[in-house]
Amino acid sequence: MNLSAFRKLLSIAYDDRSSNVTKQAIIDFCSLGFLMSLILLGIKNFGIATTMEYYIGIHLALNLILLFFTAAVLKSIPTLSKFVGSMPIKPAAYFYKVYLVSSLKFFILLEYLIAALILLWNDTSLKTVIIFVILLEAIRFLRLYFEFLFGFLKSLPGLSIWFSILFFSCSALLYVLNKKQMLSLSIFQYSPSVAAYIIIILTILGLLTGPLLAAQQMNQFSRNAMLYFYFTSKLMKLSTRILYLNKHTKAMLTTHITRLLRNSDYMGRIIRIFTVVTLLSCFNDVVLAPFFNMPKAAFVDIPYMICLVTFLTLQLEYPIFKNSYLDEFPITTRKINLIIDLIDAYILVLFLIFLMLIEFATGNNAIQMTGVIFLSFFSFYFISRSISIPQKKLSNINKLFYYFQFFILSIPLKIVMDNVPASKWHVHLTVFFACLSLYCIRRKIFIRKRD
Amino acid sequence: MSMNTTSPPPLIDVRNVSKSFGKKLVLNKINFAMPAPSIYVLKGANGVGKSVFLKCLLQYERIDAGIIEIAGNPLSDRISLRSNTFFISSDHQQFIELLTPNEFFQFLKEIYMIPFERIEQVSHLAEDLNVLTELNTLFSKLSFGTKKKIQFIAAMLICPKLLICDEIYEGLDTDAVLFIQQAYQHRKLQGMGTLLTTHIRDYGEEVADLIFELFNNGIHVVKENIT
Repeated sequence: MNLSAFRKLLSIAYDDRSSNVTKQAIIDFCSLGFLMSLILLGIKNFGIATTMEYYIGIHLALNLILLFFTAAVLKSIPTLSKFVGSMPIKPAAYFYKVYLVSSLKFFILLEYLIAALILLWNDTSLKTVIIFVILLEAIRFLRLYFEFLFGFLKSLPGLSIWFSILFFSCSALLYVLNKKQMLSLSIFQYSPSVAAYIIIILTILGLLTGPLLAAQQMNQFSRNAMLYFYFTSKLMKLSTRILYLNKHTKAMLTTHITRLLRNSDYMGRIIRIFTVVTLLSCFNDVVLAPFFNMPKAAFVDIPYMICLVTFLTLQLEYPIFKNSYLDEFPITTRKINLIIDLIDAYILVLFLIFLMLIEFATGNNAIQMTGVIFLSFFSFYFISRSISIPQKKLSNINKLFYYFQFFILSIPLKIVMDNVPASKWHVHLTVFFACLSLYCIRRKIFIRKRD
Repeated sequence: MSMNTTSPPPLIDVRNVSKSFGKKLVLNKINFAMPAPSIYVLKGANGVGKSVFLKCLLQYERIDAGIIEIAGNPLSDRISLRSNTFFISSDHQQFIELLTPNEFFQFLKEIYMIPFERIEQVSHLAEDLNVLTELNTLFSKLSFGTKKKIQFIAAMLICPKLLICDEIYEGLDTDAVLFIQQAYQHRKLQGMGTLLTTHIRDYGEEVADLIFELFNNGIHVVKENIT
């Protein structure tokens, strides 16, 4: 199949309408004009070398943004692979042709051509211009490669889990390294040539391994996650042994934990919460704390961030999963809600302990501070849980309404946390009990008595 | 159709029940009663509302008007409703999907406080239904027919007063169909009731006490087996 036929195939797969062509051409033309103006302006003000460096930086940022959106949607490559997989096309041909079709576009070639001409006009050596164009293209290729990689991760069993674990591991490593002061997050200190070498090495690796990723996705067969299944079975049996609860509650708790662990959507969300909070913590330490010179206050915000992100992602986005199925069994609603609250709190506490351990290991914290952080964490948690959310899909307006409830309820607590020193622990304890009371009262009032 | 009984109360008592989705009326002032020791079959073309009716009986769908009582208790008594009923769904197995059959049975054992001697029946039932080797496989990985058999074993463990089966015969082999029909009769002898829907001609008819059909938004008796 030649390239133009393959291009037609892609347009069928993506259901491209002809009306989009004009729109796309206008967007391409505008962005091209904008980029070229930047080059000319840059050369005039900063000189050739700095302009090229910034141009590559902007190009990298744009592709990262595009990758973020593609990865967030995660539809294009898996859908395409499924479509192409039903046709007599070899994986290597598929991978390279997708790359060529997405790269050999009029406006992209025009961009490279104009950029090269401007640089050559300004006495840049031919070798430098070629390396410059190769770097731009390598960045574009890597974006496509990562789309294939994410598509492959999506095809794995427990897809969200693997995908999320990858992001979480990277961000947690970043957090630990940053805490240990082994790595500076300031990317500006690294030499541009190091970044160029890294990009080119990654491109070569991508060109070699890309067809393998494509092959994996084209031959979609059911993969059995035996290891993960075995792990959750063992965990379930273990939790049954160590819990000293009545049989009824124990059965509910262990079965619910098992289901949560095996539900890739749910676990994916939990790990993504951790990732977001870890990254926010990094941001706290790297940007906010040095800038405002108040590391303690910045750290106290972590419980708030955990509860806020959990509230937004789990309670508002995923209410249906939580207990609708438990409704099929003779279990009281009060008990169902209690179990779910306990499990979510348990998972979040584990994460909080992880962060605390790092703080202690780096000698950044005091025991009194730790107590306050735990109190504030549970206070925020009780506030988030005291908001009764219906077991149905919520519209964005509804979500906003519930978010504002959480936000308004948490304002007094945030004021106390930010302004009352850790030594006045009795104030924090009072606030904690107030939040606990709020949780108990609102749960009692707002949860419909269905039993 | 209405059946007047005095004592004991019917297992299912439906009075003037209506249900619609938007402007589409599905059930119109339905009256239906089913005594405890019985096997009733509900037939009907695709889309007439058989599954909706069953879901209304178990309060998985809210009714617009009317009264439904199960074993003399209103549907608002959720704990009683769930303790006395079990639903074998044709397509909805959300809870079990992420468990193995053995894990599911273990859960049921604790929740319904099933006696030990009945738990021992699992392996016999699994052997009779030819699913013994599948008890430690994730439910979502099982075949369509095997999923039905596992749900049926679960129902036999719980022994609910009222068993409701939605299209249970689909995907089952002939031996399994015979086995399940015998189980229905055994349940009836023990004083329990079974209500099932089916598309498959003749299946369930020979064991049924009454066969109904749902059409024109109402339930109508089609055939009565006098035994």
